[in-house]
Amino acid sequence: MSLKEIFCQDKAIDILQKALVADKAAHAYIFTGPEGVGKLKTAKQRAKLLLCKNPTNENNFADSCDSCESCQLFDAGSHPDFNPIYKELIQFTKDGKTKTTPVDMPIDVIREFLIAKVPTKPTLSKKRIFVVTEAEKLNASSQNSLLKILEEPPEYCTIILLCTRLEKLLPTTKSRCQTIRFGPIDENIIIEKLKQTGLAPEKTEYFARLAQGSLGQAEQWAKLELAEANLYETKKQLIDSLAQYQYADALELAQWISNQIKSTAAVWIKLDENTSTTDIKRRTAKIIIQIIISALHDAMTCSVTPQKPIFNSDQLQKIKILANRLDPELAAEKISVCYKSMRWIEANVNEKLIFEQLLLNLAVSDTIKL
Amino acid sequence: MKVNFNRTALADALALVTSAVPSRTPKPILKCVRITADKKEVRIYATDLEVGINHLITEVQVEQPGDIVIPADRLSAIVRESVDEVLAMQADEGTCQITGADSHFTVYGQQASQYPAVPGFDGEADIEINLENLQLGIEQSLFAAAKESTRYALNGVLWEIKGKKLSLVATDGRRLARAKVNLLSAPGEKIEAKKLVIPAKTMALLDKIGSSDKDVVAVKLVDNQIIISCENVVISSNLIEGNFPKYEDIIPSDYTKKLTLPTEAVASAVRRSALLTSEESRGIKLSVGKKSLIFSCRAPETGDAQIELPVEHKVEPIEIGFSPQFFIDALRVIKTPEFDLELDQPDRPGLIKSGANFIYVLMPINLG
Repeated sequence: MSLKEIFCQDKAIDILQKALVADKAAHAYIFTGPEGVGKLKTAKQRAKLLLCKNPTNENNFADSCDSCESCQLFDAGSHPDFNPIYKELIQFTKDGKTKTTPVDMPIDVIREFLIAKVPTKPTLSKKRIFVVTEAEKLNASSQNSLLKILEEPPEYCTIILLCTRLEKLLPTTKSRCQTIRFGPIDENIIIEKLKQTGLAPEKTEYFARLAQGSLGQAEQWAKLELAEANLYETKKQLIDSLAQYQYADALELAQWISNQIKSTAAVWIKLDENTSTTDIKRRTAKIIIQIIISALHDAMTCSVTPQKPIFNSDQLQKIKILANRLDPELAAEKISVCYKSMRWIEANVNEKLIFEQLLLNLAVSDTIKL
Repeated sequence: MKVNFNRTALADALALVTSAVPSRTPKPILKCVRITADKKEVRIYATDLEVGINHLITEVQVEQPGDIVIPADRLSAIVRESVDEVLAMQADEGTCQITGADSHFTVYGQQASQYPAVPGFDGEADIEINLENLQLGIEQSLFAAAKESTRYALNGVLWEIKGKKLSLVATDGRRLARAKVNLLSAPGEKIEAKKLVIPAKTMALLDKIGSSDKDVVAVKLVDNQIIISCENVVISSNLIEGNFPKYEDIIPSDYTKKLTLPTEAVASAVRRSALLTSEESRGIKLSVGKKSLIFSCRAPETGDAQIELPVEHKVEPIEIGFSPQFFIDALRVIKTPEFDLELDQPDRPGLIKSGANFIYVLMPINLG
């Protein structure tokens, strides 16, 4: 893998390349953009290029050679000068043995794996690269502890923060880094990629659309689906229930959703042992909300511009029922309710309560005609 | 790979090498040691990517050369607990069989090709030092290095090479120790007048090398790394970036009050006077009287202690406060029966000197 194999992020890569050619590469970057659009991939390839001993340069496009000692070690994941920072490192910190994986990025990880490592000169290459994943989870004290290093790292040091929510970073952090934006990925490419995994066509199309340009998410869902997490089945049933949803069903449906989340998360946890279980449960809960949003969105589209493609084209009948019951304006209101619930998931609220509240809210108006 | 080891030699080598193995690391392969068998000899490697070590073992019979990477803690436990004189090790495809007279272990290892490279020592040395002298120097400086300072350079020990002398300097901002070590020959041009900051872990590792008084340490600077070789051991280490403070300015040179004191007796007096210190009042007071030295401490909730040490001197009376721990740290590494204590005003640091090579600057505490 090398930089030129990264697709759909031409603008971001162009900025990085130009900086390198002009010898003005920043010492600290923020890569920001939605989840699963290639931020980590780009950061890794950028690191590989910076560490590479014989970088190639074709048509002014610098890239790693993929064959030197540095590149090979990098691909094997054992490059001594490449330091990925992620919150699960907590178990390797001084008294981290007993700690469960936290929700925030713990300051101990930042201190022991970033701040303490920066002053040691690189071993193999001329550079030392730090890539902080999930930088939006850095709390204020972690960010403050980073300020000095972001301001003035040693010349051999490059720090890349990967961030899905730029507003979570302090202005002091942002002003010390160059921000590079990553956009969503073309749906056709996502469909193409999902097809390669061997996923059934109707599932492929649905997941690709639901991911809204996030290839990483779509691939993750495909992986879950192939591991028989029955996400697609859940979605079908959920939309069925939404179509004929009544106020009285709220609690029962919430319970059902909770159970679905549990079973899906269980499959996910088995697939991905390194990620914290809380995180996985939250992500699963978010998928369910995304599915609800997609249904509401479809209902809007159906009544306003019926010719436009919708998410749930496989359940058009149900969507039409839903569209009959919700006028576009109301659907938009419900969508904003959904987004509010999405934020609660991040904020440690009991998951079952979130869904009960959400479903009660979805039904509470008498505009849902029976 | 097929090798017969002398168990004691292997155990000794492992004891040193495994101290470089990191106790916590996200990369499991670093918790392993790599054992490489050549035609006649075996090398054991360990690294945490910052400090690397390799140890040559010659007391072996190599039947078949090869390479294996196996967990360090398991291997050293097996070797430590074994009672045999000879241990046979046979390895292929990631498994390692260790056989003693009545025992047989199969240990699963990892791919040798994925183990990070640990540099060896090739070519000419830039400087050469007697191991015993260097270890004394390390003992007399390392203890003063900061443990977790955000000023990174303070977490290491400064190596300053001037002429045929190597100064080892460490400080944590409250005290500073400098030990001078004689070089065996004039330093190479590349390293002359250079200031290197070496991580504390590397220094501690150097200190652990078993020494006989004739061993010579060869030191070499390659890119960002320092490579140190001594007999069968080669240690490589990254350097620490950052400027070590200008420590010369801190060492006072204008002091007139000089006391020559017995090391043992003062150490005992400091220890005893510190017995009643408490969280709030940690310092001890040193009062220079007419014919004696009084160490005392007073803590409001525990009581007070006073130890009087008769001393012949011509210094004017003065009272000054010190941290007893920092005081004892220095006295512990002084090898001479007597040392010099130089003082000035109570708000200026105390200066401890022993022989020509050891200087210790100790900041006073305000006991008011």
